[in-house]
Amino acid sequence: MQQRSIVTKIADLMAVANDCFLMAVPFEPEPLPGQFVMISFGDGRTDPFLPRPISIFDWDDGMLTLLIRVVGRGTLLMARQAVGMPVRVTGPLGNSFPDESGSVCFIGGGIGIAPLYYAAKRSTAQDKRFILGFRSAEQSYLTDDYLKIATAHFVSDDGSLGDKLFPHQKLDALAKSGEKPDLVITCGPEKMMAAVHEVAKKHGIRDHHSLESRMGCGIGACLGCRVQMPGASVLVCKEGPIFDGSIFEEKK
Amino acid sequence: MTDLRVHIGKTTLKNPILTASGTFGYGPEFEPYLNLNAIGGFCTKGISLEPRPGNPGIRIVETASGMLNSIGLENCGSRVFLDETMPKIARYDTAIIVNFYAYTEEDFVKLAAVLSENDRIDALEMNLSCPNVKQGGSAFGADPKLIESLTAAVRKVTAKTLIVKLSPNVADITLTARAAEAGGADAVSLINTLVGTAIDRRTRRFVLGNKVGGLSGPAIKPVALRMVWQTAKAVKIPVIGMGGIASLGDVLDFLIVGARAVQVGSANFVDPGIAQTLAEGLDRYLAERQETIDQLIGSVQE
Repeated sequence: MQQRSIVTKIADLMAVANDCFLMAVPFEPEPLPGQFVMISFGDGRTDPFLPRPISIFDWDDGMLTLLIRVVGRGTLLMARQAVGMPVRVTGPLGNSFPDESGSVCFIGGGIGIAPLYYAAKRSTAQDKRFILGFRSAEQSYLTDDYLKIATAHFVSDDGSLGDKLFPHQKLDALAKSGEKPDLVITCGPEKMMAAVHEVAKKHGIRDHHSLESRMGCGIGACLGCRVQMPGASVLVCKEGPIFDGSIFEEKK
Repeated sequence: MTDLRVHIGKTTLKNPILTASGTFGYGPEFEPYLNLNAIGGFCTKGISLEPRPGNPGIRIVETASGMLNSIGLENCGSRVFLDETMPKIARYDTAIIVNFYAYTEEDFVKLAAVLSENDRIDALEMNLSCPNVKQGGSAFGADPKLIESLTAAVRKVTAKTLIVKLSPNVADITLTARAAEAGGADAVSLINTLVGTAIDRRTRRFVLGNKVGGLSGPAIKPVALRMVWQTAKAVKIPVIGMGGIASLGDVLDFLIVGARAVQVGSANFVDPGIAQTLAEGLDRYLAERQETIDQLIGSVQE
């Protein structure tokens, strides 16, 4: 699969929450689940300067959709763009989630749910389900869309959406009630992923996680995204962004 | 096709567009995005005698029209580079410029000698100016006497085109440039990054793990352009200009003030195919004006 860097135009831009928006742009080739793209303003401006790594929410027949949370100036300015404006997209980048024919549980926290939609959609698992965690019902988004792809268990910090549990506690409860998946795929805060790893290990479930890091280039050239994880020092863009659970195991 | 060839020491570049060390990996990373044979050459990630892990913590932060980095010269070391990387990049029909770095004169000389044994390497770029490492680097980069003796010592062990990369973190860059020339350098390249920092005001900590880093990107171009202009007037050897190049206009500006070639740096992160676009743009510009590359270089009206 050939990566490329092109200037394309925003086909759709839609707010889905106070601080999250969906952006659709025509882009080929078809990405693998778990891959990401680098996006920047395609109009030659030098401020903001660097592209941003964004996971792939969906890809359908040449249309790439990104779910983006406004976390700083760059994403705020991107949210204020309009349909028809140019965007540079480089990708698809990085490795991908493993597939599994049995049962897979996709666990996401907050904006970490973004790559799980496409991952679950593309998964060939016989049984697939989500555990999606939000702060509250008010701060949740796209729940109906995820329900169209698979069974979804919602959890929230304040209990206003689904169970008042953390995602790893929900996984623990499912596993104890005899609904143990063969594989868990996670994306979200590092603490959440580490907690899921502990539960997965306890129940003998294989686990893969999507890491996040500041990136300059996304293609292994700047070496800016290297992070020191308990299990290894990793260059997230090139060696990842998907790593198996051993990344959370303190190296002996 | 216009004849865009320029000469740097013993090396003939097919065109003056190079990519800067630290922004282009070891080369193959960019294969999906451009035809490496269409650019004048590329400078590899800085190589040290032994592998280096680089700096811990946050390594990059965006700034106004630019970025700070404190990668800390992470690299695979000279042995892996020569045994594993060189065979992969040897087939490119473009100049391979190996950027190299050491802590001591002895290691600079040893490294230059080892790299010089590889026939495919076209030129060596001696990094006297990385602001992100505690020993060496900047210390070498600010002292004209040290630069001259170090350049002379390396000159003795290499017949390859020797480029000395200069730091802008000095009072007068023409002094360090002249020192490199006196030591026997074939060319100087400038500017490396400007030392800067950034604060996370919520936590009141430095953003970068290394506290300080090197500023690059369009923000530094006016400073770089001024230094390249001054240096081109001060030395007889070719000057390779860089600092914030992000468009054909930027390339032209550097050539007009006297740079014989240019290096594209952090713009590679934004558009990994930009170097080829710039080389093709320069070709078109000169063809349309029926101007030669030599007429363009140094054509600034004073």
